[in-house]
Amino acid sequence: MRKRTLILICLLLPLIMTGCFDSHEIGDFAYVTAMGIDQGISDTFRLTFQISKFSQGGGGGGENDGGGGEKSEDMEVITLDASSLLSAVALINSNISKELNFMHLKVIVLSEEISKSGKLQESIAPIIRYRHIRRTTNIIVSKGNAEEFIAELKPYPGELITKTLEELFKKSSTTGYFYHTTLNDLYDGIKSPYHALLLTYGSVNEEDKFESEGDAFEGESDIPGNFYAGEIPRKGGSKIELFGSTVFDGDKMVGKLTGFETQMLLMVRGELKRGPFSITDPSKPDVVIPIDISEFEQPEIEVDLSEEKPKIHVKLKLEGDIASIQSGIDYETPERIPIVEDAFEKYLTKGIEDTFEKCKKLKADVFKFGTTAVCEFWTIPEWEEYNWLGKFSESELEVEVDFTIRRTGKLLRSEPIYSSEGKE
Amino acid sequence: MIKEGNFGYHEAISLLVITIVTKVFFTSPAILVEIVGTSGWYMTIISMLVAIFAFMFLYLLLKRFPQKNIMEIADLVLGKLGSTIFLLILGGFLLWTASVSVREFAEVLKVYVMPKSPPSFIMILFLVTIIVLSFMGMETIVRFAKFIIYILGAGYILVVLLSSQNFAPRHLFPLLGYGLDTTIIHGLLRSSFYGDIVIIGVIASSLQGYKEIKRIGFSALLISGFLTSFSLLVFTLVFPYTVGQELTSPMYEMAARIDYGGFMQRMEPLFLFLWNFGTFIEVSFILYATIMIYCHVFRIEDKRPIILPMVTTLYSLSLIPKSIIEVTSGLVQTLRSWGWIIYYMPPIVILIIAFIRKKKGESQNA
Repeated sequence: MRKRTLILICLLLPLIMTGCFDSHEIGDFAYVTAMGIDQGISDTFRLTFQISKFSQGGGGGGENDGGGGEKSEDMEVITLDASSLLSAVALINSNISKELNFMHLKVIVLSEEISKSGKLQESIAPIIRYRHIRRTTNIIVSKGNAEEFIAELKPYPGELITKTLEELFKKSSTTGYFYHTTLNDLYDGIKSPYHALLLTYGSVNEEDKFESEGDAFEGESDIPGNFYAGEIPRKGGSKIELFGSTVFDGDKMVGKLTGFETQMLLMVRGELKRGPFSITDPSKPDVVIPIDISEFEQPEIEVDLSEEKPKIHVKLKLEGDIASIQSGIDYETPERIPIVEDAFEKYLTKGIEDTFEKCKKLKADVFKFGTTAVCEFWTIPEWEEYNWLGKFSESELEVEVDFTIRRTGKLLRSEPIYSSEGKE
Repeated sequence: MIKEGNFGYHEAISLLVITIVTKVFFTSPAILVEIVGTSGWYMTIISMLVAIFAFMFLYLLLKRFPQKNIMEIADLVLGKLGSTIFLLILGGFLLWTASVSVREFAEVLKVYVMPKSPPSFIMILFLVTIIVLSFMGMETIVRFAKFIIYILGAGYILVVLLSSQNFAPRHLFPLLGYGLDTTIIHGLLRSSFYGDIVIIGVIASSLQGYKEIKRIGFSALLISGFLTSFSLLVFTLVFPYTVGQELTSPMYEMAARIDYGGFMQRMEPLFLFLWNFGTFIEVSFILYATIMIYCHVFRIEDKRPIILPMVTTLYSLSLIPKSIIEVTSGLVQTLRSWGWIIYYMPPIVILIIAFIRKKKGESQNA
């Protein structure tokens, strides 16, 4: 009898436990996939929520549907002014049949205006407390309004917006043109005595930099990627682009870095896995030699604090392949290959030094040299008293680059072109 | 009537290690970072060494009175009145520590997982399991601990391994935190973290003699010390000291940060498993030890009628703190910093009195 009662209790218990206070059906929620924060007009903040309706037409199947069902994704964008995220959510929840849920929030977009206003601590730092929002949520600072940026945030054809965003952010480590940041990085960055905050820079590309008509380009090419988001001379594709990064001093945006400068920065931080570069041909300056860097050794960084001004020494070791030689000059020979290697070493050294000088002027150690400097201190009070972030602008940098060309692509050597005039 | 039964080396170590280490999953690491900064991971080794030193006295006491538990020894050394006072203080203290653990568990669970459930609902569900475990007796609790420790261990290793993507070795600097003096002082004070080891005195009769107790005590402390230190090291590697001290449950946050792309993220349910089962074992063990003490003081043979009233008292005590702030900054902090007085001092005092009064148990070989 006792055993039967116990079995009965065990069988009944799961039934009554399913309806506890926190139980929900998936359909109860409206899933926010992107959130924008702008300076408000009728209240402190203007918050924009992109709500994705994940649905499938036709047959069943999951995200990677193999069942032949056609995926459709409608999106709704809601914008409102409120004093905080919590009150904005409450206002929206009172007007829609679902409950806003941030479990699948992929990106938070901050307008440049609000980033520069020094309201990061007020606007976004408290969000870290919000239970639904994960520390792994991506962060972007948008050139214009966050509201406009979110309106243009659309999935790649045939994909879910969540997947598109995930894939987009992954590009950071393979091109280095922008820095992939999360809410955790933001929070860590504004509270860190080791380094300054760096965030992804994004913009809507209005295609106004693309010139449809005009004279053919002549002269030396500019450094590839040396522009900010929204300035890439392109046409078609997604209107959204992530390019460059924004630099903060504390919680206030003080400047921005171009895509190229971000590459230089990430290289020094050891966060670039591979990257495309182009140097001016040493013998023919009107053409370039594209180089694909595929191997980065961990940078060796030393910080000397023995003198008044901190002295930083960076040693980089990298390997790469020549992707093409536009001039057709036979650089592949053992005698000539050092010419390209030296040119590339100088190119990187200058790029890093220029980026460093820019960051020094902005008084922001986005290079994370502070994480090396801290090793010179035994206790936290000593370290905090030294105030590395204040000293950074006085520091001096010495860069050493060691570059080796490993491969020359599918061609082992470049033969000259033959024409009626003979060998060119 | 519940029989305590006998259990061996592995079972006892599993039980003690889970009871001690589970605390690291809650708010303690954040408070520790606030006090000592980056040096918490080795500060706890100092605490462990102090706990080993304090355990030596308990061991000497149990060696002097073979086959007797601390309640029986207290009766022999302090007399009936002295023993009753001492045991009621110890029992009351253990019940209070269990109530703090239950409330801390409920609060943290409410913050992260069940925001809409009232704490009382979470606690009642939790305590129902404790009641079932307590009715089954100490032997069942111990054997359950032995069974679950492998699963908990695997989960723990998985969380740590997956978190390695977020490790930043530079977060360990400055190495001495807020200073060596601060680290040592708090290392000595916070030995209470390992204070649950004294419960070994309560269950001494179920263990295989004082030599086994010595092995169990030292092994449990060393393993707990290593696991706690390692957990704090991992947490320090993931969160810099400026951020680490703000977190409600650093270890949970650490698990939540695991992200290996679309198919390997949101790993915190794994951690939830460690939390729940760890706390079940911890509270069941402490509560059952309290019941054993209470029944001994009042000469109650059958423990079953005591379980429900004791759990009700535990539940009522858990409801006393007004908020999570009172639990973390007040109770947990007080318990970790000053708990050693009640954990470690009584065995020392009893041992001294036993020496003075020349009280001694029968020889094990007699």
